Amino acid sequence: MLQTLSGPCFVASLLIFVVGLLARAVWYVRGLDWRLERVAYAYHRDRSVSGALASIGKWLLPGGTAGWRAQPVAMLAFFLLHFGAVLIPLFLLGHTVLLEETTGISLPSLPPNVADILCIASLAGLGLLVLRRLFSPVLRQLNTWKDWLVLLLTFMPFFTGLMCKFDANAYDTWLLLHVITGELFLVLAPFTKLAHIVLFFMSRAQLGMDYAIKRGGRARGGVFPW
Amino acid sequence: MPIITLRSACAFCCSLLLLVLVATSSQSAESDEILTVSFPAIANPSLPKVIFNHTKHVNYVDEHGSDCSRCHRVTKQGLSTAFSDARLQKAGNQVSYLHQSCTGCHSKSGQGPALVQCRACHVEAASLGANNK
Repeated sequence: MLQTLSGPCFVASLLIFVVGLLARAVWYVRGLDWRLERVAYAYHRDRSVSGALASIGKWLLPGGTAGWRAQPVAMLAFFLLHFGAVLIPLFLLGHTVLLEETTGISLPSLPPNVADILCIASLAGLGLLVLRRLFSPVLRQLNTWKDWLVLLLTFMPFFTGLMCKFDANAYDTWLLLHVITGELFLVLAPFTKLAHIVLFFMSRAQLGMDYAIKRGGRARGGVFPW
Repeated sequence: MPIITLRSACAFCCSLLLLVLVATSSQSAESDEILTVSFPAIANPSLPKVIFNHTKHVNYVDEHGSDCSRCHRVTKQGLSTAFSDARLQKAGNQVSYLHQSCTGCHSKSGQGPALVQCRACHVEAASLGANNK
C-alpha cells in the first residue's frame, strides 16, 4: 500500500496541486475588471511592477507592514508556521533524497536539527492559530468547519512527520499517515483556503499595483509606503 | 457561532487523540546476524547508519537460487565486505548507489523497505530488533 501511495498517488496529488493552483491564479487574473484594473496595470507598467514587488516583499517580512505590526501575536503565529511550511516540504533531507533518486533533481537539504526546530516551531504556530481562532471575537463570528479543516490538514503532515523521527517503534504507521495526510493537503489545497499558497501572491501583487497607480500612487513615487 | 466553534474544536481534538491511539506497534526480538553498513564512511551522518538483518538476506538469496556473489564481489582477498560495486562508485555517488541497489532489489522482490521508508533501515543501534524486516 505504501508503494502505491508514495508512488502513483503522490504524483497524482502533486499534479492536482500544481494544476489546481495554476488554475486558481488564472481565474484570479480573469476575474479582474479589464476597465478598472487590467488596462491600468498593463499601461502603467513602470509603476505596477515595483508596486507589486513592494507589496509582496513587505508582507513576507515579519513586521514589514503596518498590518503585521498592528497584530504582533498573529504575526508571530503566522511566521512560526510558515517558515517551516515553506522550507520543510522542499528541503527536508528525506524529501530531497527521494526527489534526487526519482528525478535526478538535487536540492540542498536542511541540517536535521534545524528541520526539527522548524517543525516544532510550525506546530507551535499552528497551536497559536487554533487559540486565536477559539478566542478572537472577530474570528468566532467568522469560523466555519472549513477553517478547522485547513488547520487540521496543515497540522497532520507536520505532526506525523515529526513522529516518524521520534516514535521509532511505530515508524511504519506514522510514515503511512504522513504520506496520506501530505497527499490530502496537496489534493485539497486548490479547493480550500490553502489556495493562498498562490493567491497570496496574486492579491498582494494586485493591491500593490493598485496603490502604486491609483489613489495618489503617482504622487508617492510609485510605491505605497506601508 | 460559539457553539459550532467549540464543537468543531472538540472534533479537532478527538481526531488527534484517535490518531495517537492508532499509532501503536509490536516489537519482535531477533537472534539473527545483524550488521551495520560501514561503507562509505560519512563524517557527520544526518541519519543513523543502516542496520540490516544479514541472515534474512542470505536466506532470501539461497531460496532464489543465487549465492553470496549476488551482493559481494570476489576479490583476491576473498569476498568484499562492501556491497557489490559500492567501492567502485565516485565518492559523491556511493550513497545514491546503495539507495538504488537496496531499494531496487526490495522493490523487485516485493520484500523489505522502500526508499520512502528512510528509518526502516537508518535505525539507531539502541532500537535494534524493532525494524529489521
